[in-house]
Amino acid sequence: MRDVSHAVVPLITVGIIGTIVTAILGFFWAPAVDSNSWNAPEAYRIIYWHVPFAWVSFLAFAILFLGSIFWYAKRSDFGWVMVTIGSEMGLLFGLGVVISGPIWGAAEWGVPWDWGDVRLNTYALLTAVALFLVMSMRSQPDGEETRDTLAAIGLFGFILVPITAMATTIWRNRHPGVIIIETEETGMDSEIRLVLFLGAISLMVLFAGLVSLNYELHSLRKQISDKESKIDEESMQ
Amino acid sequence: MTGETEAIIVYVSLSLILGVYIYNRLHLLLELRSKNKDETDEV
Repeated sequence: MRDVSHAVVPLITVGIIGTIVTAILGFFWAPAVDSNSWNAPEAYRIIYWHVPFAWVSFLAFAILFLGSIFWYAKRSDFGWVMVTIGSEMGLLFGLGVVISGPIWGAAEWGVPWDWGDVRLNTYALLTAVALFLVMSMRSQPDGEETRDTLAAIGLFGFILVPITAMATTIWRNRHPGVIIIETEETGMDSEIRLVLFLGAISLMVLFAGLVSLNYELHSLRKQISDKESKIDEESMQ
Repeated sequence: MTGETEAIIVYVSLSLILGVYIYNRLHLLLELRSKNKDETDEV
């Protein structure tokens, strides 16, 4: 396994600083939205973390998907490590989205959840898949059968990613539509866009740091386990 | 109601989730690095 230990702390530090700066700019620098068009105009400020959290969670699910393919194609430990990291990161950032969305919904719509909205429900299902995978990995004995079953769930669960991403375009219901592509309907203030992109870049850097951190944890566990086996073998001789 | 309180609740909740996770993982990293060093000395 490659040594990524030197990248862990710098990436996490830069990511955290950028994420905090994003929140400060989002609150105190980004302009307010039209108070006549929104029921709770100040609540919109959650987007500076809510949207980047969602984008980063898609990266996590992509790692889970690629890891599942690697696991099936090569039966490599690297593939399985990608599955475990992808599902844990998917759960972490997915929870961030699933928690922040309903708080905004309660303020803006008057209800925290809409069971008829496709994006809300497919995204919740995606996070539930990540939760199921993380809990299964912690509760089931590690072996080929367990890995096969969980990698299959990761593989097919990824289908929910494009459905979730396109849901507001195809079946737009309550969830606001795509906000980055410039149209007459979604014209976005340049300051809002700037803070949103800073949030996205910062969370991606933090995500890279957390992936490296988890990768090193797996690497260290393997090294310790190998050394313990070696000590056991030597003591048996 | 402008939604400012809700926005603050969101940032506090997500900060707590990220903070606890990062603290937990970094703590585990230090623990495993130290254990790995001990095992190396033993081998």
